[in-house]
Amino acid sequence: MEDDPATRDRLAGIVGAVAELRLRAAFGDRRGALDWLASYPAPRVLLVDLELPDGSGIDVIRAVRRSATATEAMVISVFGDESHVLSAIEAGATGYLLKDAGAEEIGSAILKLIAGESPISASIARHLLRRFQPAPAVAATASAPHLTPREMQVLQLIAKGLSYARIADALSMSANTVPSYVKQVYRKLAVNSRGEAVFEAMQLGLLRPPGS
Amino acid sequence: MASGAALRRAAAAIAGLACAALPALLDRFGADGAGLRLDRAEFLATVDSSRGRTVALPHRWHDDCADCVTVWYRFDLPLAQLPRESQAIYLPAVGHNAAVYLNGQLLGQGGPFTEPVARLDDRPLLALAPPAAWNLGSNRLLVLVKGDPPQRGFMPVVHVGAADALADVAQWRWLTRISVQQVLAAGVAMLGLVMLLVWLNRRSEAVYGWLALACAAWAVQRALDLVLVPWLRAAAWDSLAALALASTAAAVVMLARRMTWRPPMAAERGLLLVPALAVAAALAGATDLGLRLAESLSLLVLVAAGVLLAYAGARARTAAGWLLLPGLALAPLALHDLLLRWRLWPADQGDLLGFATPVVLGTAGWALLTRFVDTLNAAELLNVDLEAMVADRARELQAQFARVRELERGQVLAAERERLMRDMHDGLGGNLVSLLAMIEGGRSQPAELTSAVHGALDDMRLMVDSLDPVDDDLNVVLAMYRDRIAPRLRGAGVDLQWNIDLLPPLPGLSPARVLNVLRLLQEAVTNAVRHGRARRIEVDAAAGDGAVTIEVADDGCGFDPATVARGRGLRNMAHRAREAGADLNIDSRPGAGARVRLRFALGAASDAALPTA
Repeated sequence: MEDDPATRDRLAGIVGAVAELRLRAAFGDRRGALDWLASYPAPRVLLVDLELPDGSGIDVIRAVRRSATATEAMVISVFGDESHVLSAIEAGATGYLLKDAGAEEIGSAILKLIAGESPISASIARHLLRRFQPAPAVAATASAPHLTPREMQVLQLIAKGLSYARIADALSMSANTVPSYVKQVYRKLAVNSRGEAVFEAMQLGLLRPPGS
Repeated sequence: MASGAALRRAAAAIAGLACAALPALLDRFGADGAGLRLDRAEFLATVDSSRGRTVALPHRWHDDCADCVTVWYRFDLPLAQLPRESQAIYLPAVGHNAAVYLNGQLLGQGGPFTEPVARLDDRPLLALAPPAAWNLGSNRLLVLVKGDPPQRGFMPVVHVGAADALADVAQWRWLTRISVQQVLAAGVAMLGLVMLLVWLNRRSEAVYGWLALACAAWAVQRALDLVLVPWLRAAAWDSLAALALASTAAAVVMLARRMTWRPPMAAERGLLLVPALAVAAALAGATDLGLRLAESLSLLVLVAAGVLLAYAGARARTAAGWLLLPGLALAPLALHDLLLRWRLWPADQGDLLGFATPVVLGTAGWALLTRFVDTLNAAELLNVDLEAMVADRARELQAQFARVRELERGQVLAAERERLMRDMHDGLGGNLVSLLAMIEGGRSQPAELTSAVHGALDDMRLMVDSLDPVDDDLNVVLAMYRDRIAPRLRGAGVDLQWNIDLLPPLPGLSPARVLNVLRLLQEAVTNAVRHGRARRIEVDAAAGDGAVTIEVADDGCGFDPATVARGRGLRNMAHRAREAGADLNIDSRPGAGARVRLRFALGAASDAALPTA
């Protein structure tokens, strides 16, 4: 989903060029995507631009996360809008990619996501840390997601720009487990905001309250 | 305030008038009308004198018998019928002691006749004569008078009448002449004590000291005058009284002078001569003339002091000032007493200064206290004003600080904006201009254009990154760097070895420094890929030896740092290193790759423990 035709075509071209991937559909607005998702089997990966002419791509991420848990939602972002990426992760996205990234970069990012490795930049890690370490006054709110000390350490070291190998060294773990911690963190953020998402979905008429 | 001032003024005027009217008041309650008034008597130098000289009363016998200490006055009282009720013989005042005999029987006396002789002076003497004491026909009334010294002795008019009526008169005289003076003297002594305490706590204000001295001297003078039986010889007693009076007069003048709030004059020291004169008179054997002269001088000085006080009060034109006006009342009463001393006034009138002086001293004390309290109130008001002023000033200062802070903030913002503009112009601007030239030239390959656009985007990212707060953490800067270059290097097929340790904080890592570090590292990578055609780049960062070292090494073709072709780029990197506060070391040989090393010296204090993960 991308409203800029040139970027949409570029992305479509990149996806089409990767042997392991097949482009199911492309949309320029939110309504079309929601309609398509309602009538066709869910895709494995969903690329979502947040700024759409008829609303936010976050709605689409929520819808797909609710109906098809196997679908990975990936946010298409520009640099410097980490807060938007975080909102998308809270809605259920498990990855993001930069609009101007190279073709190979985008292809490999999608494949890695399918393989279970969520991408994370130091900058996103720093934003996540800030989200999980709110000001002491609001720290006690029940809705604040809780990370294990391990997850916090991983995030901290990512934020400091250490490689996965160094992080694994420092924390005495296997280098392969570092990405799974990242995904874990993403999930926790999404789970935490699920109640809010359900409420919003009911408001939109997508969900019926039980018993009615 | 205004009503209080008016009240004080009225009180002062009334007090002054009361003083001036006292003699008239006292005379109104004389014994006239209460029985027989005997104003002629037979004066006998000794009791044995068969026939004396007829004199008018009151009589100062010194003129007729200069050496006589004790004299007799004889009255013949013929009676047609015996009185049914008790009668009385009444002497309003006498100098100094008297005894009354009727038909040879002692009816009464004022006190002892042996040394020291009792001094009745203003005390009335009432001798009761019961009906049995009287004879039908001729009665002989004898009054023995003793004067010490004889110059001051006198015999008053004698009243004979009903005991009841004369007792009332005597009681009234006692009250007005003796009791009132005793109370006033005690009051003056109290005032003196209060003033003394004030002065002891405020030595700089001599005015309280002088008033205290005047009060004390006056109280002593009155005490000496009012004692019935002195315990010293009459001459010494009188000398002490004269000294006390002189001291009072001198002190009141000093007081008045200071009430005018002008610096004291040297001439005032002359006033000390007055008490000195009294002392000299006393030492010279206390002759009556010497004492009289000393007392007269004191009285004149007192008159002058009263006038001076009133003048000071009138000049001040304040509520306190009006309280000094009763000083004028001193003049007539002191002159009256002066005439009395020189025997130019009926002897039985008695001193009047005893009434005026306490009033004058009291109102002067009142004036001083009023002034004191006024000053206190003014100081309090001033304090309140001062506090308000200090608060105002504090507020003003705060506002000023806020303005300065605002200004400084504005300056910082302006400087930062200017830096951003400059950086954008140098980096992004330059990139876009060269991109434009490439497109317009039309000969550039798409790959070249793509690379140029990436260059522009990269520079923009660096700028955006540099604005992020890094909290003096070089790790964060390196993390930004990695986020930017890793995808590009992967795309170009360059292997990136990333060996970053946790680094200690580097204080003062400003956005400008961060941008310089980022650009420098970016340039090292760009050079390695573009010029060195490197296949592998290794970035190391570690702390040690009081410094943090960041190293970018490549396996490219290398270069000779001395060659001119690379000179401009290297100079540029050296400049950025200086701006970033780092030492730059570039090590390369043709065919052996390149090694760019940045060294940040840590402050002595920041050799701190590494942040724990």
